[in-house]
This record gives sequence, C-alpha cells and structure tokens, in this order.
Amino acid sequence: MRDELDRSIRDAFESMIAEAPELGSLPTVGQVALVGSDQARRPNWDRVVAIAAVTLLVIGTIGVLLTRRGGDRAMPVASVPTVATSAVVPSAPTTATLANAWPFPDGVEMVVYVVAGSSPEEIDRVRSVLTAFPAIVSPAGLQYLDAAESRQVAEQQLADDPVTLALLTPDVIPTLFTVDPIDPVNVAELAGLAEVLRQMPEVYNAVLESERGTTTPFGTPAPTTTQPPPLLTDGPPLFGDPETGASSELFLAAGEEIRAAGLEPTLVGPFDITGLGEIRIDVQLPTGSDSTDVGFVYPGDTDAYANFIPTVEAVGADDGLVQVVLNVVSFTAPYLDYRIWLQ
Amino acid sequence: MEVIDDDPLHGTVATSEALWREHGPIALRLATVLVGPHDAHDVTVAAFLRVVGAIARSDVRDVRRYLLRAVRNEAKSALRSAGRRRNRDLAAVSPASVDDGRPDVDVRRAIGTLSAQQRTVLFLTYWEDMTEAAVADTLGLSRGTVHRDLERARGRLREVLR
Repeated sequence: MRDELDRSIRDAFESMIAEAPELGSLPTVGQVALVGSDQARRPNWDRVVAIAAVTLLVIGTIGVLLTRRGGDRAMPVASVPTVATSAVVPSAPTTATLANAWPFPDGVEMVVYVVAGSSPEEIDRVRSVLTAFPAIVSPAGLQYLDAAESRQVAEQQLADDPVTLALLTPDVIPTLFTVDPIDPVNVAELAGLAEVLRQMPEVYNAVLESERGTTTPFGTPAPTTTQPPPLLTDGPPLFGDPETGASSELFLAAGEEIRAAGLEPTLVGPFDITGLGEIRIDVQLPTGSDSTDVGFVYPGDTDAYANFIPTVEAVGADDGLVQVVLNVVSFTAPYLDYRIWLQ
Repeated sequence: MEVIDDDPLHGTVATSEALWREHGPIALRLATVLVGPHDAHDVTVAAFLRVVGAIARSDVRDVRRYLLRAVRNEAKSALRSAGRRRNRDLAAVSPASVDDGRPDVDVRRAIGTLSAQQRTVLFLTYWEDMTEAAVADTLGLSRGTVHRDLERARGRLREVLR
C-alpha cells in the first residue's frame, strides 16, 4: 500500500508539474508589485532590466545604512503593500486633507520622498536607482526639490492644515524627487520601481499619483501627530490562552489593538537573531476580514530596532487566520514591541 | 509565534539572472503544485524578487532555501481568499483535459485539499527526494511539524486510493 501510495503521489506531481509554465527570462521590475494582475501576466520582455545592477546599488545603500537605521526615521513603517501600512497612524488627523492634493505639474506620476537630512551622496543614490531604469524614467523626467522647494509644495498641499504645516520645519521635511515617466500609462512599471525605492533607507516613501488618497504625502511629520492609540490594558485577554497564559496566537477583534510589550513581553522575546531571520505572528481575524485589513507598526526610535528591516507580509490562510511575517537581520532585543490592529 | 533564525549567511552574490536560471525551475515547480499553472509564474516572480531584495539587504548564501520559503509564503498569499483558493485549487488539480476516472487525477484532487504547507512538504519529499530533516531545514519548521504534515497528507491521500 505504501509503495502504491508513493507511486501515486509521484505520478500526480509529475502530471501537475508537466503543466508548469515556461521559466522565461528574468522578470522585469514592473512585475514586482502587480503580480497577479493582468498586466503582470503579459511579459514585457523588451523592458527586462538588470535587476542585478539594482541589487548591487541597493546592497551599497541599504547594507551600509542598516547599521544606523533606528533613529533615522521618525516612524519607519513597513512598506510592503500586502499589509495596509499606509494607515499606520489611524488617528492622524490630516490624512484625508492631504489625500486629494497633488500639487505637481501634469505628467508627474510618482513622487519619491527622501528622508530629511540625507546627505548629497544619499540623495544621489536615490537618483541612481531612479535612473537605473532608462525604459521607465529618463533624466529629463526627473526633478529634485530641496527642503525649501519641498516646503513650498507642502504649503500648497497643507494650505488648510496649518498645524501640520507648522510641524514641517526645514530639518524634518522630506526632500523629494518628482518623476515624469516615459510611459505614464504603464503603472505596473512605476509600481515596481516604487517598491524597489521603498526598500531604500534613504527613501521615506514613494507615492504614485494613482495612489493618492491612500497615503500621506509628507508622511508623519512629528510625534504629536503620530501617537498610536492607547494601549489595550483592559478587556478580555488578547494575548495568550486565558487558561495557560501562553500561546503563539494573537486574537483581536475589529478596532482593537495589541501592543505586545505592554501585555506579555516574555512571550515575544528575547530575540537574538544573527543573519537573516523571520518572525511570524499568527493573527486570528474576525469573520469578513482579511490580511489587507491588518495594520502593523513597530517603534523605530530605539537602538534595539536598528537592524529591523521594515518588511511585513500578511499571508492568508483558511478561516481568517493570517500571518504577519517580519523579515529581520541581526535582530537583538529583549522583546518585540509592536502594534497590530484592524483598519 | 515562530522564530526562524538562520545561520549567518556569507558567500558570493551571483547575478540575478544566474540565480533565476539556477533556482527558478524548482521554484516554478513548487508554485505550480501550490497554486496551479495559471498563477505559478506570478508567484515565482514575486518570490524571486523578494529574494533579490533579501540579497540586497543581507549576505544570503542559501538562495534556494530562501526562495522556496518565499514561494510558499507567496502561494499562501495568493490563496488568501477562500473563494479564490477553491478556484485555484480546482485549476491546479483538475485540468479539463484529463480523464476524471484516472487514479492520479483523484490524487491530484486530494493534494488540492491539503494546506499549502502540507503540499510543500509533500512536494519536497516526493519530488525533490528530501528527507524530513532536509525539508524541516529548508522550510524553517521543526522535524515534528514536517513529520506530522507528511503523515496527515499521506493519510488523506491513502483514503483516496482505497
């Protein structure tokens, strides 16, 4: 019976794998962000780009700067779009106001916000990545706005929000690149490029014109507007089994938020991860929710998170069980201080 | 909470094209088993680009292992919606061109009812001839988990063959 079972399984795999598609050439960057879309299914092989070159660029930038990430950003937010991190500060009062403003010239389809205080070399690295894709962006379509010019944009965008505008002082306001792409219709290519850029430590965010309404143009300017909701300290147990107090699962209901450090820090640490690692958090969602409803943030203002790579994935499973996957490198901390909630 | 702590990874970074050529085929086969031929390429591309990003951020040597994990994760993501999952599973295991009366079709259907992780474990065991220990190492799971998944999968398939 065992032999027959083994043979049947192998036969089944053989017939399944016989239908596997052709491997094809190296995928284009435009396929990164829109995998699964119709556009991604139409290979645009004439636009194959040398991802190796970009890889090396990013190695040079991210690798060097990994060691000083922690305090650089006011609020490093995981940027992989499978988790709805754009609303990472759900209480931020100005998002809606900012959402519909796009005070850039016609043709500008993407804006890349550079972390405030970046050196000329760091800014050049961002420019290098942008120009590494000549099929998408030409130098003529690229414009850099320094802090003063960025401030002028902010004044237009935040004309009805003087409180937030006042917070965007020259030392905290991101500078920016505006991108007028060669092919403004090919959103897939731009989205892929934006995804690459978001992984650079010099880049605060890359926003597509088509995404406006879901992002805050100038990110999170000051702590006074970025305070997360208060910790949940009352109510039913949200972390761990009520009987044993120990569990690998978090249970949360709509609108609730968990800050693990404030509840059971021993259950989520300590961490002493060397090299590449993953931390997975299972989250049971209420009926009708899926991973796109999950918001996630970790504090970025402590040294403990200096090497915490802000990549978060939510992978689905049956019955509303999703998994938040945190990719980390050399992460050492007594516990993982994070917040997770439903949008 | 599950923590996977890889060893420090050191070594040379090959070109992306070379990595794609070397490791793409097995990733594509696994993706085909997990999500079917229609979405396999998309899942593989997404996983590969994730690996490229990881290489950019660290010194990854065992690309194959990382890629297979990425395929598994991407496949899970692709199967997120229960409705979509059912359709994709059917597409993965029930090609219109095959005779439903054939035993391997029944087995394929049964494989389609397994979880993505169980399918991954089964694929690596039967198609890649990995030991349970190797599967556990590749996927960052405990040997006990792999053994349990394998036995459950076999049990499910054994029922089909009765």
